Amino acid sequence: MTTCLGLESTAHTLSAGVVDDAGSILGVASDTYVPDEGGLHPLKTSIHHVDCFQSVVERALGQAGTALAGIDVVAFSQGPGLGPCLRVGASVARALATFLGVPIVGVNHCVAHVEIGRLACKVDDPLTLYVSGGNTIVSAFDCGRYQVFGETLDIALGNMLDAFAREAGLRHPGGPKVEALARQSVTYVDLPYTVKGMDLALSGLLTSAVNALPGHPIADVAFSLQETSFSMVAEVTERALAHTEKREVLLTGGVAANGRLQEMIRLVSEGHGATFHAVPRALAGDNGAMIAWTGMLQFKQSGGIPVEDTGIIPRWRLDQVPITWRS
Amino acid sequence: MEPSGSGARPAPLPPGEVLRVGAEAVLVKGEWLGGEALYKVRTRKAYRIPQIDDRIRAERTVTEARILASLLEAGLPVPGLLDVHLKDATIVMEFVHGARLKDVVGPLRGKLASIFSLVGAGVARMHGLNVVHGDLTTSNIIYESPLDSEEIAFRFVDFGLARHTASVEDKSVDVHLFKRVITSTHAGDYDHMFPPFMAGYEAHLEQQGRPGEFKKVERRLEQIETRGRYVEKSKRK
Repeated sequence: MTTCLGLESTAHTLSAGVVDDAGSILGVASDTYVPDEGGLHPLKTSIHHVDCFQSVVERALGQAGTALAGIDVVAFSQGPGLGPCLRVGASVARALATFLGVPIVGVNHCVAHVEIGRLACKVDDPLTLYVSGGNTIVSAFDCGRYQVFGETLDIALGNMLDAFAREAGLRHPGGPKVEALARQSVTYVDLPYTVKGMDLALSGLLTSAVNALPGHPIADVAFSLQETSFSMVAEVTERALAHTEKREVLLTGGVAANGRLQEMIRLVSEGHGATFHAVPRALAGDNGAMIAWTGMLQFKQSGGIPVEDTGIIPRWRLDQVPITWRS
Repeated sequence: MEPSGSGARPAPLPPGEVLRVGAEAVLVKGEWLGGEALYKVRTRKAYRIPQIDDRIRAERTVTEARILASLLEAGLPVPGLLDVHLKDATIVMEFVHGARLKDVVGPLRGKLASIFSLVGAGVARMHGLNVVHGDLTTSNIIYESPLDSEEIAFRFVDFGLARHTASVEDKSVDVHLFKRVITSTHAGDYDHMFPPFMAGYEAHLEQQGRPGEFKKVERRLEQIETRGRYVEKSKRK
Protein backbone atom coordinates (compact mmCIF):
# COMPACT_ATOMS: atom_id res chain seq x y z
CA MET A 1 0.00 0.00 0.00
CA THR A 2 1.21 3.51 -0.87
CA THR A 3 0.19 6.49 1.27
CA CYS A 4 0.27 10.11 0.18
CA LEU A 5 0.31 13.18 2.41
CA GLY A 6 -1.35 16.18 0.75
CA LEU A 7 -0.95 19.81 1.77
CA GLU A 8 -3.46 22.49 0.81
CA SER A 9 -2.64 26.18 1.27
CA THR A 10 -4.04 28.14 -1.68
CA ALA A 11 -6.16 30.58 0.34
CA HIS A 12 -7.64 30.82 3.81
CA THR A 13 -7.32 27.14 4.73
CA LEU A 14 -4.18 25.25 5.69
CA SER A 15 -5.07 21.58 5.50
CA ALA A 16 -3.35 18.21 5.48
CA GLY A 17 -4.78 14.90 4.30
CA VAL A 18 -3.56 11.32 4.11
CA VAL A 19 -4.90 8.87 1.52
CA ASP A 20 -3.88 5.45 0.29
CA ASP A 21 -3.72 4.23 -3.29
CA ALA A 22 -7.10 2.48 -2.96
CA GLY A 23 -8.74 5.86 -2.45
CA SER A 24 -9.35 5.58 1.29
CA ILE A 25 -9.14 8.90 3.09
CA LEU A 26 -7.19 7.96 6.21
CA GLY A 27 -7.02 11.39 7.81
CA VAL A 28 -7.75 15.05 7.12
CA ALA A 29 -7.19 18.06 9.39
CA SER A 30 -7.60 21.78 8.69
CA ASP A 31 -7.18 25.21 10.20
CA THR A 32 -8.95 28.13 8.54
CA TYR A 33 -7.87 31.73 8.92
CA VAL A 34 -10.70 34.08 9.88
CA PRO A 35 -9.76 37.77 9.67
CA ASP A 36 -10.93 40.09 12.45
CA GLU A 37 -12.23 42.48 9.83
CA GLY A 38 -12.23 42.85 6.06
CA GLY A 39 -11.27 40.13 3.63
CA LEU A 40 -8.25 37.87 3.35
CA HIS A 41 -4.93 39.70 3.55
CA PRO A 42 -2.53 37.31 1.75
CA LEU A 43 0.45 37.98 4.03
CA LYS A 44 -1.53 37.74 7.29
CA THR A 45 -3.15 34.56 6.00
CA SER A 46 0.24 33.04 5.21
CA ILE A 47 1.49 33.87 8.73
CA HIS A 48 -1.50 31.97 10.09
CA HIS A 49 -0.50 29.00 7.90
CA VAL A 50 3.09 29.09 9.16
CA ASP A 51 1.85 29.09 12.76
CA CYS A 52 -0.49 26.12 12.36
CA PHE A 53 1.03 23.77 9.78
CA GLN A 54 2.81 21.59 12.29
CA SER A 55 -0.24 20.84 14.42
CA VAL A 56 -2.42 20.34 11.32
CA VAL A 57 0.00 17.81 9.81
CA GLU A 58 0.31 16.03 13.15
CA ARG A 59 -3.48 15.81 13.54
CA ALA A 60 -3.90 14.38 10.04
CA LEU A 61 -1.16 11.80 10.62
CA GLY A 62 -2.71 10.96 14.02
CA GLN A 63 -6.10 10.31 12.43
CA ALA A 64 -4.45 8.13 9.82
CA GLY A 65 -2.68 6.22 12.57
CA THR A 66 0.65 6.62 10.84
CA ALA A 67 3.94 8.28 11.64
CA LEU A 68 5.66 10.66 9.24
CA ALA A 69 7.97 7.80 8.31
CA GLY A 70 4.95 5.89 6.94
CA ILE A 71 4.38 8.46 4.17
CA ASP A 72 5.47 7.39 0.68
CA VAL A 73 4.64 10.50 -1.37
CA VAL A 74 4.18 14.18 -0.49
CA ALA A 75 1.77 16.27 -2.59
CA PHE A 76 1.03 19.97 -2.32
CA SER A 77 -1.22 22.51 -4.01
CA GLN A 78 1.09 24.28 -6.45
CA GLY A 79 -1.58 26.73 -7.67
CA PRO A 80 -3.72 28.62 -8.43
CA GLY A 81 -3.95 30.77 -5.32
CA LEU A 82 -2.46 33.52 -3.19
CA GLY A 83 1.32 33.58 -3.58
CA PRO A 84 2.32 33.94 0.09
CA CYS A 85 -0.09 31.16 1.10
CA LEU A 86 0.99 28.79 -1.66
CA ARG A 87 4.61 29.33 -0.65
CA VAL A 88 3.92 27.98 2.86
CA GLY A 89 2.48 24.69 1.61
CA ALA A 90 5.22 24.33 -1.00
CA SER A 91 7.98 24.97 1.54
CA VAL A 92 6.57 22.48 4.03
CA ALA A 93 6.12 19.88 1.27
CA ARG A 94 9.70 20.33 0.00
CA ALA A 95 11.08 20.07 3.52
CA LEU A 96 9.10 16.93 4.34
CA ALA A 97 9.83 15.19 1.03
CA THR A 98 13.54 15.97 1.30
CA PHE A 99 13.69 14.90 4.96
CA LEU A 100 11.82 11.66 4.27
CA GLY A 101 13.61 11.05 0.97
CA VAL A 102 10.29 10.43 -0.83
CA PRO A 103 8.91 11.79 -4.15
CA ILE A 104 7.12 15.15 -4.28
CA VAL A 105 4.15 16.01 -6.53
CA GLY A 106 2.69 19.44 -7.35
CA VAL A 107 -1.10 19.45 -7.75
CA ASN A 108 -3.47 21.90 -9.45
CA HIS A 109 -6.01 22.95 -6.82
CA CYS A 110 -8.94 23.05 -9.26
CA VAL A 111 -8.17 19.59 -10.65
CA ALA A 112 -8.09 18.34 -7.05
CA HIS A 113 -11.62 19.63 -6.41
CA VAL A 114 -12.87 17.62 -9.39
CA GLU A 115 -10.92 14.46 -8.50
CA ILE A 116 -12.01 14.33 -4.85
CA GLY A 117 -15.59 14.81 -6.06
CA ARG A 118 -15.28 11.89 -8.45
CA LEU A 119 -13.88 9.77 -5.61
CA ALA A 120 -16.29 10.83 -2.87
CA CYS A 121 -19.46 10.74 -5.01
CA LYS A 122 -18.42 7.65 -7.00
CA VAL A 123 -19.04 9.37 -10.32
CA ASP A 124 -17.03 8.68 -13.45
CA ASP A 125 -17.38 11.45 -16.00
CA PRO A 126 -19.31 14.39 -14.56
CA LEU A 127 -19.97 17.91 -15.69
CA THR A 128 -18.52 19.79 -12.73
CA LEU A 129 -19.70 23.09 -11.29
CA TYR A 130 -16.93 24.30 -9.01
CA VAL A 131 -17.93 27.34 -6.96
CA SER A 132 -15.75 28.76 -4.21
CA GLY A 133 -14.27 31.98 -2.94
CA GLY A 134 -11.72 32.03 -5.73
CA ASN A 135 -13.31 30.09 -8.59
CA THR A 136 -16.55 29.75 -10.55
CA ILE A 137 -15.98 27.17 -13.27
CA VAL A 138 -18.13 24.76 -15.28
CA SER A 139 -15.89 22.05 -16.70
CA ALA A 140 -15.93 18.55 -18.13
CA PHE A 141 -13.34 16.06 -19.32
CA ASP A 142 -12.60 16.09 -23.05
CA CYS A 143 -9.46 15.52 -25.13
CA GLY A 144 -7.26 14.79 -22.11
CA ARG A 145 -8.13 17.92 -20.14
CA TYR A 146 -10.76 19.30 -17.85
CA GLN A 147 -12.01 21.76 -20.44
CA VAL A 148 -13.61 24.94 -19.17
CA PHE A 149 -17.06 25.38 -20.69
CA GLY A 150 -18.07 28.40 -18.66
CA GLU A 151 -16.58 30.57 -15.97
CA THR A 152 -16.90 33.92 -14.30
CA LEU A 153 -15.53 36.81 -16.33
CA ASP A 154 -14.76 38.81 -13.19
CA ILE A 155 -15.15 37.75 -9.54
CA ALA A 156 -15.95 34.32 -8.08
CA LEU A 157 -19.36 33.44 -6.65
CA GLY A 158 -18.06 32.89 -3.10
CA ASN A 159 -16.03 36.08 -3.27
CA MET A 160 -19.17 37.97 -4.33
CA LEU A 161 -21.20 36.59 -1.41
CA ASP A 162 -18.38 37.35 1.04
CA ALA A 163 -17.90 40.88 -0.31
CA PHE A 164 -21.65 41.54 -0.08
CA ALA A 165 -21.74 40.27 3.48
CA ARG A 166 -18.82 42.49 4.39
CA GLU A 167 -20.54 45.56 2.92
CA ALA A 168 -23.65 44.59 4.88
CA GLY A 169 -21.64 44.50 8.11
CA LEU A 170 -21.45 40.71 8.43
CA ARG A 171 -18.19 38.98 9.30
CA HIS A 172 -16.11 36.72 7.08
CA PRO A 173 -17.00 34.13 5.82
CA GLY A 174 -20.26 35.67 4.65
CA GLY A 175 -21.71 32.87 2.51
CA PRO A 176 -23.49 30.96 5.30
CA LYS A 177 -24.79 34.22 6.82
CA VAL A 178 -26.19 35.38 3.48
CA GLU A 179 -27.85 31.98 3.06
CA ALA A 180 -29.48 32.21 6.50
CA LEU A 181 -30.74 35.74 5.77
CA ALA A 182 -32.04 34.71 2.34
CA ARG A 183 -34.16 32.00 3.94
CA GLN A 184 -36.07 34.70 5.84
CA SER A 185 -37.37 36.42 2.69
CA VAL A 186 -39.41 35.81 -0.44
CA THR A 187 -39.40 39.42 -1.63
CA TYR A 188 -37.44 39.91 -4.82
CA VAL A 189 -35.57 43.14 -5.50
CA ASP A 190 -34.74 43.59 -9.21
CA LEU A 191 -31.04 42.94 -9.82
CA PRO A 192 -29.07 42.63 -13.09
CA TYR A 193 -28.72 39.16 -14.58
CA THR A 194 -25.59 38.82 -16.73
CA VAL A 195 -24.99 35.65 -18.72
CA LYS A 196 -22.73 35.92 -21.76
CA GLY A 197 -22.95 32.71 -23.71
CA MET A 198 -21.58 30.11 -21.32
CA ASP A 199 -19.84 32.67 -19.13
CA LEU A 200 -21.23 34.98 -16.49
CA ALA A 201 -20.28 38.22 -14.80
CA LEU A 202 -20.94 38.94 -11.12
CA SER A 203 -19.33 42.26 -10.24
CA GLY A 204 -22.18 44.43 -11.56
CA LEU A 205 -24.64 42.32 -9.61
CA LEU A 206 -22.58 42.80 -6.45
CA THR A 207 -22.53 46.58 -6.92
CA SER A 208 -26.31 46.69 -7.51
CA ALA A 209 -26.98 44.55 -4.45
CA VAL A 210 -24.78 46.73 -2.24
CA ASN A 211 -26.50 49.84 -3.63
CA ALA A 212 -29.92 48.29 -2.85
CA LEU A 213 -29.01 47.79 0.82
CA PRO A 214 -30.02 51.24 2.14
CA GLY A 215 -33.53 51.06 0.63
CA HIS A 216 -34.46 47.44 1.38
CA PRO A 217 -34.41 44.98 4.30
CA ILE A 218 -31.11 43.08 4.22
CA ALA A 219 -32.95 39.74 4.04
CA ASP A 220 -34.71 40.80 0.82
CA VAL A 221 -31.43 41.83 -0.79
CA ALA A 222 -29.70 38.63 0.38
CA PHE A 223 -32.57 36.56 -1.05
CA SER A 224 -32.50 38.46 -4.36
CA LEU A 225 -28.72 38.28 -4.63
CA GLN A 226 -28.72 34.51 -4.07
CA GLU A 227 -31.63 33.90 -6.43
CA THR A 228 -30.11 36.02 -9.21
CA SER A 229 -26.53 34.79 -8.96
CA PHE A 230 -27.47 31.14 -8.45
CA SER A 231 -29.91 31.31 -11.39
CA MET A 232 -27.07 32.61 -13.55
CA VAL A 233 -24.74 29.84 -12.41
CA ALA A 234 -27.51 27.27 -12.91
CA GLU A 235 -28.23 28.56 -16.40
CA VAL A 236 -24.56 28.35 -17.40
CA THR A 237 -24.45 24.82 -15.96
CA GLU A 238 -27.55 23.90 -17.93
CA ARG A 239 -26.09 25.28 -21.15
CA ALA A 240 -22.89 23.27 -20.67
CA LEU A 241 -24.91 20.18 -19.77
CA ALA A 242 -27.04 20.48 -22.91
CA HIS A 243 -23.89 21.01 -24.97
CA THR A 244 -21.74 18.20 -23.51
CA GLU A 245 -24.62 15.78 -22.84
CA LYS A 246 -22.85 14.39 -19.75
CA ARG A 247 -24.93 12.03 -17.58
CA GLU A 248 -23.65 13.19 -14.17
CA VAL A 249 -23.41 16.62 -12.56
CA LEU A 250 -21.00 17.29 -9.71
CA LEU A 251 -21.30 20.34 -7.47
CA THR A 252 -18.17 21.17 -5.51
CA GLY A 253 -16.21 24.00 -3.84
CA GLY A 254 -17.02 25.94 -0.70
CA VAL A 255 -20.32 27.36 -2.02
CA ALA A 256 -21.52 23.80 -2.75
CA ALA A 257 -22.62 23.71 0.90
CA ASN A 258 -25.43 26.20 0.08
CA GLY A 259 -28.77 24.38 0.23
CA ARG A 260 -30.54 26.62 -2.27
CA LEU A 261 -27.73 26.25 -4.82
CA GLN A 262 -27.86 22.48 -4.39
CA GLU A 263 -31.60 22.54 -4.99
CA MET A 264 -31.20 24.56 -8.20
CA ILE A 265 -28.42 22.43 -9.65
CA ARG A 266 -30.38 19.29 -8.78
CA LEU A 267 -33.34 20.64 -10.77
CA VAL A 268 -31.06 21.47 -13.72
CA SER A 269 -29.56 17.97 -13.65
CA GLU A 270 -32.88 16.17 -13.38
CA GLY A 271 -34.30 18.31 -16.18
CA HIS A 272 -31.68 16.82 -18.50
CA GLY A 273 -31.80 13.26 -17.19
CA ALA A 274 -28.46 13.56 -15.44
CA THR A 275 -27.77 12.45 -11.88
CA PHE A 276 -26.89 15.13 -9.33
CA HIS A 277 -24.07 14.80 -6.83
CA ALA A 278 -22.99 17.34 -4.22
CA VAL A 279 -19.58 16.69 -2.74
CA PRO A 280 -19.96 16.15 1.03
CA ARG A 281 -19.34 19.35 2.98
CA ALA A 282 -16.10 18.12 4.58
CA LEU A 283 -14.53 17.49 1.16
CA ALA A 284 -16.23 20.25 -0.86
CA GLY A 285 -14.26 23.11 0.66
CA ASP A 286 -10.48 23.34 0.43
CA ASN A 287 -8.89 20.32 2.10
CA GLY A 288 -5.68 18.30 2.13
CA ALA A 289 -7.34 15.01 1.21
CA MET A 290 -8.15 16.25 -2.29
CA ILE A 291 -4.53 17.26 -2.80
CA ALA A 292 -3.32 13.92 -1.45
CA TRP A 293 -5.69 11.94 -3.70
CA THR A 294 -4.88 13.92 -6.86
CA GLY A 295 -1.17 13.70 -5.98
CA MET A 296 -1.61 9.93 -5.70
CA LEU A 297 -3.24 9.74 -9.15
CA GLN A 298 -0.45 11.82 -10.66
CA PHE A 299 2.26 9.87 -8.86
CA LYS A 300 0.94 6.50 -10.00
CA GLN A 301 0.80 7.74 -13.60
CA SER A 302 4.04 9.65 -13.90
CA GLY A 303 5.95 9.57 -10.60
CA GLY A 304 7.28 12.56 -8.69
CA ILE A 305 8.73 15.81 -10.02
CA PRO A 306 12.23 17.28 -9.45
CA VAL A 307 12.39 19.76 -6.56
CA GLU A 308 13.48 22.44 -9.07
CA ASP A 309 10.02 22.18 -10.63
CA THR A 310 8.13 22.70 -7.39
CA GLY A 311 7.90 26.48 -7.65
CA ILE A 312 4.41 27.80 -7.02
CA ILE A 313 2.12 28.75 -9.94
CA PRO A 314 -0.29 31.42 -8.59
CA ARG A 315 -2.07 31.67 -11.96
CA TRP A 316 -2.65 28.16 -13.26
CA ARG A 317 -5.78 27.45 -15.22
CA LEU A 318 -7.68 24.20 -14.80
CA ASP A 319 -7.57 23.57 -18.56
CA GLN A 320 -3.77 23.88 -18.70
CA VAL A 321 -3.26 20.60 -16.84
CA PRO A 322 -2.90 17.35 -18.84
CA ILE A 323 -5.06 14.75 -17.09
CA THR A 324 -2.79 11.80 -17.80
CA TRP A 325 -4.60 9.32 -15.54
CA ARG A 326 -7.85 9.50 -17.53
CA SER A 327 -8.52 8.55 -21.11
CA MET B 1 -41.09 29.17 1.64
CA GLU B 2 -40.81 27.27 -1.62
CA PRO B 3 -39.11 29.37 -4.28
CA SER B 4 -39.24 26.75 -6.99
CA GLY B 5 -41.36 23.90 -8.29
CA SER B 6 -41.87 23.27 -11.97
CA GLY B 7 -44.89 21.09 -11.32
CA ALA B 8 -46.89 24.12 -10.25
CA ARG B 9 -46.08 26.01 -13.46
CA PRO B 10 -46.11 23.56 -16.36
CA ALA B 11 -44.87 24.84 -19.71
CA PRO B 12 -47.60 25.14 -22.34
CA LEU B 13 -46.27 23.43 -25.47
CA PRO B 14 -47.86 23.66 -28.92
CA PRO B 15 -48.98 20.40 -30.61
CA GLY B 16 -46.23 18.71 -32.57
CA GLU B 17 -43.08 16.67 -32.24
CA VAL B 18 -40.64 17.75 -29.52
CA LEU B 19 -37.30 17.85 -31.33
CA ARG B 20 -34.98 19.03 -28.65
CA VAL B 21 -35.06 20.10 -25.06
CA GLY B 22 -32.29 22.66 -25.03
CA ALA B 23 -30.80 24.68 -22.24
CA GLU B 24 -32.90 27.69 -23.07
CA ALA B 25 -35.97 26.45 -24.87
CA VAL B 26 -37.90 23.48 -26.17
CA LEU B 27 -38.03 23.11 -29.94
CA VAL B 28 -41.26 21.69 -31.33
CA LYS B 29 -41.85 20.80 -34.98
CA GLY B 30 -45.42 21.92 -35.50
CA GLU B 31 -47.69 23.46 -38.06
CA TRP B 32 -48.27 27.04 -39.05
CA LEU B 33 -50.81 28.02 -41.70
CA GLY B 34 -50.74 24.50 -43.09
CA GLY B 35 -46.95 24.29 -43.49
CA GLU B 36 -44.30 22.93 -41.16
CA ALA B 37 -42.80 25.32 -38.66
CA LEU B 38 -40.44 25.36 -35.71
CA TYR B 39 -41.88 26.54 -32.41
CA LYS B 40 -39.26 27.79 -30.01
CA VAL B 41 -40.81 27.84 -26.57
CA ARG B 42 -38.85 29.39 -23.73
CA THR B 43 -40.03 27.06 -21.05
CA ARG B 44 -40.23 28.00 -17.43
CA LYS B 45 -37.12 27.10 -15.53
CA ALA B 46 -37.94 25.23 -12.37
CA TYR B 47 -34.80 26.50 -10.69
CA ARG B 48 -35.60 30.19 -11.17
CA ILE B 49 -38.16 32.06 -9.11
CA PRO B 50 -41.03 33.40 -11.28
CA GLN B 51 -39.96 37.03 -10.76
CA ILE B 52 -36.64 36.32 -12.47
CA ASP B 53 -37.86 33.62 -14.83
CA ASP B 54 -40.75 35.59 -16.37
CA ARG B 55 -38.57 38.66 -16.84
CA ILE B 56 -35.72 36.77 -18.51
CA ARG B 57 -37.99 34.73 -20.80
CA ALA B 58 -40.04 37.72 -21.96
CA GLU B 59 -36.97 39.92 -22.51
CA ARG B 60 -35.20 37.26 -24.51
CA THR B 61 -38.25 36.42 -26.64
CA VAL B 62 -38.74 40.03 -27.69
CA THR B 63 -35.05 40.60 -28.36
CA GLU B 64 -34.67 37.40 -30.36
CA ALA B 65 -37.70 38.13 -32.56
CA ARG B 66 -36.54 41.68 -33.28
CA ILE B 67 -33.04 40.57 -34.14
CA LEU B 68 -34.20 37.71 -36.36
CA ALA B 69 -36.36 40.20 -38.24
CA SER B 70 -33.49 42.63 -38.76
CA LEU B 71 -31.07 39.90 -39.90
CA LEU B 72 -33.64 38.51 -42.34
CA GLU B 73 -34.13 41.93 -43.79
CA ALA B 74 -30.39 42.16 -44.39
CA GLY B 75 -30.36 38.77 -46.08
CA LEU B 76 -28.34 36.78 -43.56
CA PRO B 77 -28.75 32.98 -43.47
CA VAL B 78 -31.15 32.70 -40.53
CA PRO B 79 -34.58 31.05 -40.20
CA GLY B 80 -37.58 33.06 -41.36
CA LEU B 81 -39.70 34.63 -38.63
CA LEU B 82 -43.37 33.67 -38.80
CA ASP B 83 -45.03 34.66 -35.54
CA VAL B 84 -44.43 35.63 -31.91
CA HIS B 85 -46.56 34.64 -28.90
CA LEU B 86 -45.29 36.78 -26.08
CA LYS B 87 -47.52 35.33 -23.39
CA ASP B 88 -46.06 31.85 -23.89
CA ALA B 89 -42.56 33.17 -24.69
CA THR B 90 -42.83 31.45 -28.06
CA ILE B 91 -41.36 32.30 -31.45
CA VAL B 92 -42.65 30.54 -34.58
CA MET B 93 -39.98 30.14 -37.26
CA GLU B 94 -39.37 28.58 -40.62
CA PHE B 95 -38.38 24.93 -40.24
CA VAL B 96 -34.76 24.50 -41.37
CA HIS B 97 -33.76 21.01 -42.56
CA GLY B 98 -30.21 19.95 -41.72
CA ALA B 99 -27.85 18.86 -38.97
CA ARG B 100 -26.10 20.69 -36.17
CA LEU B 101 -22.62 21.50 -37.47
CA LYS B 102 -21.27 19.99 -34.23
CA ASP B 103 -22.68 16.59 -35.23
CA VAL B 104 -21.34 16.49 -38.79
CA VAL B 105 -17.76 17.65 -38.24
CA GLY B 106 -16.49 14.11 -39.01
CA PRO B 107 -18.07 13.70 -42.46
CA LEU B 108 -17.25 17.31 -43.35
CA ARG B 109 -13.61 17.08 -42.31
CA GLY B 110 -12.30 17.63 -45.87
CA LYS B 111 -13.95 21.02 -46.25
CA LEU B 112 -14.02 22.40 -42.74
CA ALA B 113 -11.76 25.28 -43.72
CA SER B 114 -14.12 26.44 -46.50
CA ILE B 115 -17.13 26.11 -44.18
CA PHE B 116 -15.55 28.02 -41.33
CA SER B 117 -14.34 30.73 -43.65
CA LEU B 118 -17.96 31.25 -44.74
CA VAL B 119 -19.09 31.14 -41.12
CA GLY B 120 -16.51 33.84 -40.37
CA ALA B 121 -17.77 35.98 -43.24
CA GLY B 122 -21.36 35.51 -41.98
CA VAL B 123 -20.45 36.56 -38.46
CA ALA B 124 -18.59 39.59 -39.85
CA ARG B 125 -21.74 40.56 -41.77
CA MET B 126 -23.84 40.13 -38.64
CA HIS B 127 -21.40 42.25 -36.66
CA GLY B 128 -21.49 44.81 -39.48
CA LEU B 129 -25.22 45.16 -38.74
CA ASN B 130 -24.31 45.75 -35.10
CA VAL B 131 -25.75 42.44 -33.95
CA VAL B 132 -23.83 39.99 -31.76
CA HIS B 133 -25.07 36.42 -31.53
CA GLY B 134 -24.12 35.96 -27.87
CA ASP B 135 -23.95 32.16 -28.05
CA LEU B 136 -22.00 31.25 -31.17
CA THR B 137 -21.38 27.52 -31.01
CA THR B 138 -21.18 24.70 -33.51
CA SER B 139 -24.56 23.56 -32.13
CA ASN B 140 -26.10 26.84 -33.23
CA ILE B 141 -25.16 26.50 -36.87
CA ILE B 142 -27.42 24.21 -38.90
CA TYR B 143 -25.66 22.67 -41.87
CA GLU B 144 -28.18 22.40 -44.71
CA SER B 145 -26.30 21.03 -47.72
CA PRO B 146 -26.02 17.29 -48.34
CA LEU B 147 -22.79 16.14 -46.68
CA ASP B 148 -21.33 14.76 -49.90
CA SER B 149 -22.15 17.81 -51.98
CA GLU B 150 -19.76 20.56 -53.07
CA GLU B 151 -22.28 23.20 -52.13
CA ILE B 152 -22.03 24.75 -48.65
CA ALA B 153 -25.17 26.18 -47.07
CA PHE B 154 -25.91 26.72 -43.41
CA ARG B 155 -28.00 28.92 -41.16
CA PHE B 156 -27.23 30.62 -37.92
CA VAL B 157 -29.88 29.75 -35.37
CA ASP B 158 -30.72 30.46 -31.73
CA PHE B 159 -30.50 34.18 -31.28
CA GLY B 160 -31.66 33.84 -27.70
CA LEU B 161 -28.70 35.74 -26.30
CA ALA B 162 -28.24 38.05 -29.29
CA ARG B 163 -28.09 41.81 -28.84
CA HIS B 164 -27.91 44.99 -30.83
CA THR B 165 -24.58 46.57 -30.04
CA ALA B 166 -21.96 48.58 -31.87
CA SER B 167 -19.16 47.96 -29.40
CA VAL B 168 -15.93 46.31 -30.50
CA GLU B 169 -15.80 44.67 -27.07
CA ASP B 170 -19.12 42.85 -27.56
CA LYS B 171 -18.21 41.71 -31.06
CA SER B 172 -14.84 40.47 -29.86
CA VAL B 173 -16.46 38.60 -26.96
CA ASP B 174 -18.67 36.90 -29.57
CA VAL B 175 -15.56 35.74 -31.44
CA HIS B 176 -13.86 34.81 -28.17
CA LEU B 177 -16.79 32.59 -27.11
CA PHE B 178 -16.76 30.84 -30.48
CA LYS B 179 -13.04 30.23 -30.17
CA ARG B 180 -13.59 28.83 -26.68
CA VAL B 181 -16.22 26.40 -27.97
CA ILE B 182 -13.86 25.24 -30.70
CA THR B 183 -10.98 24.69 -28.27
CA SER B 184 -13.17 22.89 -25.75
CA THR B 185 -15.34 20.81 -28.12
CA HIS B 186 -13.31 20.41 -31.31
CA ALA B 187 -9.75 20.65 -29.98
CA GLY B 188 -8.42 18.26 -32.66
CA ASP B 189 -9.94 20.25 -35.55
CA TYR B 190 -8.96 23.67 -34.26
CA ASP B 191 -6.57 24.45 -37.15
CA HIS B 192 -9.29 23.82 -39.72
CA MET B 193 -11.84 25.86 -37.82
CA PHE B 194 -10.67 28.97 -36.05
CA PRO B 195 -7.94 30.32 -38.38
CA PRO B 196 -10.22 29.98 -41.45
CA PHE B 197 -13.04 31.59 -39.44
CA MET B 198 -10.84 34.61 -38.74
CA ALA B 199 -9.67 34.72 -42.36
CA GLY B 200 -13.29 34.73 -43.56
CA TYR B 201 -14.16 37.43 -41.05
CA GLU B 202 -11.25 39.55 -42.25
CA ALA B 203 -11.93 38.94 -45.95
CA HIS B 204 -15.53 40.14 -45.59
CA LEU B 205 -14.50 43.38 -43.92
CA GLU B 206 -11.79 43.94 -46.53
CA GLN B 207 -14.37 43.52 -49.29
CA GLN B 208 -16.47 46.09 -47.52
CA GLY B 209 -13.50 48.43 -47.48
CA ARG B 210 -13.33 48.35 -43.68
CA PRO B 211 -10.14 46.41 -42.89
CA GLY B 212 -9.55 48.58 -39.83
CA GLU B 213 -12.53 47.00 -38.10
CA PHE B 214 -10.95 43.58 -38.33
CA LYS B 215 -7.77 44.85 -36.72
CA LYS B 216 -9.83 46.31 -33.88
CA VAL B 217 -11.62 43.02 -33.22
CA GLU B 218 -8.40 41.05 -33.53
CA ARG B 219 -6.61 43.31 -31.07
CA ARG B 220 -9.49 43.29 -28.59
CA LEU B 221 -9.66 39.50 -28.82
CA GLU B 222 -6.06 39.28 -27.64
CA GLN B 223 -6.88 41.59 -24.75
CA ILE B 224 -9.91 39.53 -23.75
CA GLU B 225 -7.87 36.34 -23.73
CA THR B 226 -5.23 37.81 -21.46
CA ARG B 227 -7.96 39.19 -19.21
CA GLY B 228 -9.12 35.70 -18.20
CA ARG B 229 -8.46 34.33 -14.77
CA TYR B 230 -4.99 33.02 -13.99
CA VAL B 231 -3.39 34.12 -17.24
CA GLU B 232 0.35 34.51 -16.77
CA LYS B 233 1.27 38.10 -15.95
CA SER B 234 3.90 38.09 -18.70
CA LYS B 235 1.14 37.69 -21.30
CA ARG B 236 -0.85 40.59 -19.88
CA LYS B 237 -0.67 43.90 -21.64
